[in-house]
Amino acid sequence: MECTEERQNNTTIIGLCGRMDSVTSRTVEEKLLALIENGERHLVVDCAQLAYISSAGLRVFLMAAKRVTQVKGKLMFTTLNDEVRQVFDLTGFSSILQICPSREEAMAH
Amino acid sequence: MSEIQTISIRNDLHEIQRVGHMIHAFVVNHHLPLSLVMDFTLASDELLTNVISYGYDDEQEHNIHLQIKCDASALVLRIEDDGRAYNPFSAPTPNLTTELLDRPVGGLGIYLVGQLMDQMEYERKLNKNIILLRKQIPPQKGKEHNGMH
Repeated sequence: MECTEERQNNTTIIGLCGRMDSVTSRTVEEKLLALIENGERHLVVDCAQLAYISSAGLRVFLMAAKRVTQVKGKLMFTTLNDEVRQVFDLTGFSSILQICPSREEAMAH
Repeated sequence: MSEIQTISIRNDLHEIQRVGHMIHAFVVNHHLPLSLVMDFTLASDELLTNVISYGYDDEQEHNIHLQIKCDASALVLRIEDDGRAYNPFSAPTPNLTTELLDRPVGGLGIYLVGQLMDQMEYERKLNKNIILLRKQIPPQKGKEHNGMH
């Protein structure tokens, strides 16, 4: 799992590349929580290159979303492919996490 | 048509990807709908992660044996481990209607398995946990016809 990071107008965009499973999710968890602890309040997780997610990955997203909500920040997930979207839908995560079709739309929020 | 493919992995989370590769190869070689790859890869990932993370009381190396097979109507995956007796399907289902801050973190993996598979069975036999996952083979989309019309 490779994570890219860039900043655009006050927003940090994290690009995920690869899989989020029980082995690889830890790196993303550390990265997201560190960003929030460091004061980042506008986060976009770009999932265009995310090929696969299991419950281990969903747990990381959930923890980050809870943390961001507690500090009154915003976290959005963009560009989910069909298979990742299906996992979000099956677990009800589509209705509790903020999802956007594209990075551009997420930035417009 | 019926054929069986088997694989044994060690109780190491890094081994789980090998099962995914086997499932992918099996589905492709048997010309089955590709949606089955993700269904079984994810379901087995969830169950294997649980077994490997929580199933053993010791620090020893253990083998987990998997077997995939298909018949005319369904794809079946069998997982056998020698860990502690545990039926993952007896766990209570998580509440998935709660708001974000109240959403529980646990129980999601097994719930997902239930959403992906048509049938899930557990058996404890000769000190082994045996799980069977079964899913009907969906009709192929846009399949080309070989015969004449």
